[in-house]
Amino acid sequence: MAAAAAEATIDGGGKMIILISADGKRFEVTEAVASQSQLISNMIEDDCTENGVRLPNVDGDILTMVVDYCNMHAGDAAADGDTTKASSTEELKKFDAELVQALENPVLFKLILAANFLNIKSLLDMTCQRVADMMSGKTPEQMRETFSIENDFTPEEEAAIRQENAWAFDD
Amino acid sequence: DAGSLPGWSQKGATGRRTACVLGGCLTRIDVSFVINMKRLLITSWSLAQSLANFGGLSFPALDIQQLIVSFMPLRDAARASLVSRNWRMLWTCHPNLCFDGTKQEPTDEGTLKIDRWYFSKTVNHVVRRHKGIGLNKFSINCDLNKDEFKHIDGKAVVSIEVHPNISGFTMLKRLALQYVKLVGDLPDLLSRCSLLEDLDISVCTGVGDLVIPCQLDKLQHLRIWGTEVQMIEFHVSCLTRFGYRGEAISIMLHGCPKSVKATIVFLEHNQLDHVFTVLPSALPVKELSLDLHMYDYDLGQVHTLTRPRNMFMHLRHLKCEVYVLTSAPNTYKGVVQLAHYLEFTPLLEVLEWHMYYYKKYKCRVRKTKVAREDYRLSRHDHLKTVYMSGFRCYRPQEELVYFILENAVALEFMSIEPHTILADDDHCDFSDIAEDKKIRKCARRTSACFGKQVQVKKKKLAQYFTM
Repeated sequence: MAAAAAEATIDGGGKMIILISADGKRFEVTEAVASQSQLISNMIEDDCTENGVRLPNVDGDILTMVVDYCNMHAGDAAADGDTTKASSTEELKKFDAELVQALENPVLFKLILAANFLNIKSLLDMTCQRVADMMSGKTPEQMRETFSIENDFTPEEEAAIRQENAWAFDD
Repeated sequence: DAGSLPGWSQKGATGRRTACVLGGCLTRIDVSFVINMKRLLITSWSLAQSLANFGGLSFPALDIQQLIVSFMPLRDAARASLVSRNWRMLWTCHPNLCFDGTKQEPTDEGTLKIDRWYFSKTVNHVVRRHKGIGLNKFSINCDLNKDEFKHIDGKAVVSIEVHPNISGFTMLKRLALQYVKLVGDLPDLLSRCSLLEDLDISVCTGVGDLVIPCQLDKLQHLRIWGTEVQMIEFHVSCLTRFGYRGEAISIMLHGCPKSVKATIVFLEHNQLDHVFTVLPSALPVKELSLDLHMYDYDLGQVHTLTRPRNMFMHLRHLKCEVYVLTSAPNTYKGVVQLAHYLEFTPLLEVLEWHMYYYKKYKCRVRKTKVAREDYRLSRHDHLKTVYMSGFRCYRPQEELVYFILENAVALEFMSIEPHTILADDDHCDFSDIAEDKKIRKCARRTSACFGKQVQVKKKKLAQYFTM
């Protein structure tokens, strides 16, 4: 605990943590921001963040987005914290929408995987919701096209499924 | 194994999803059944699995696909079964199964609108295919009338099968069944719903005995309404409200708190004795609302008036709607029985006694076999307020008033009112309003005689009609 106390702190923000991406980029964030990731939160509890947290699965550009997201949402994670820092709900919604709207599919998938790996539930839900919205209202063919998924059914299988779930295909 | 997951904050997860759980907001439905359940099982999201599935640029791993599908409306989720083999079965773990066969616009975009002609077939099909895992919300809402149902499968009910191998109801908080034909072991299912807070079984069939041997410590509201049950037995330590409508059966609520509020409607006639002799041991109520039916034909059971063995030791407020069926209101003493039974409620403070007399003609009146002396109220120390409505100066009514005035030493206020105040306004009776004068006279007389305030309330007719 003595070593932990000696770590850098900023005014009112608590301890700082260094996140290191797969390509070696370093991000310095407060504990409060980083703990939105359940993975890192657990590591903080176990006192193993002193030399920085290496995230070999997350690229620098993706981690930039994740850190941005966590900075924006630090307010709602700790409602009793510093209220001046907390962003308004409106702002957050706008920020979230802009974050996912603009993404190309491969980047969106990477962001989903990062959210899953880091275990940030709200980010994971939001990104998955985005994919779900993109798929909804489409035919299976269009769904495949949108996400470049290979059709591995035989025509017979396809017909069988279509019949099995006819209620979903009847229009 | 939701409790031991390393990652997700379950609180957040359930909180968000509950926001879209439908309430029991259904009215005017001929045939419907609604089940709302709160997140039955949180899909397992283990870190190890996502690492193992971590696969570069291909479509995100299976867990994530599952999550994506769960965010799609059910119909789209089912269409996604045609995307590829990996996607085929994902929809069968969809968290929301909400079916709507009504003509109204859906209130929630997650609800699956189904044409009424295919409603039963589709619902049955989807429910059978669904794996039952990860289900968060399940509701069915339809307003098909019986004739239309005949066209579908000849039965007027949707049935729910309770599979014996379902073990994942540990998160269920609210279960509301209306117009459901139950197939399967409901008590067994309820035994495994330890977090259940709200249970409502209305107008269902196939229930049988409701004997739940294990503790339902979170259960706050229990309502069994218009459903044929032989026996009700629960272990409840947190119950705040209890409702029952049906035949006078054995009701046991073990460990029930002393502050529970109960509404009980017995369908058979002349159940006053049952209410005051059998119920107290099972139901330590603080407030009790009763519907009673009295019928002058069968007087046998009031012959032997029970001495109190069990009493309503905690009852403070008693509200009764009494429906009296008699052709001789001046001689049928049904309502006077209350004077006797008040002894069973030693701490009662407020009594509401609303009488509604049905007219019965062409029926030979049986002579009342019970002598007046048999009904006697011994001293009552706590009764402060009495509201009586439907008071028409029938002799037994006056007798009851005298009994109360004579023996309730703490009485502060009594009101008698010619119109019957009923929760269900359809029964409002405007006949015999000319009796008003007589009632006033009676009030003045009794007031003077017993030195206590007796007020006659009078509502203007117009008030009734505008309501």
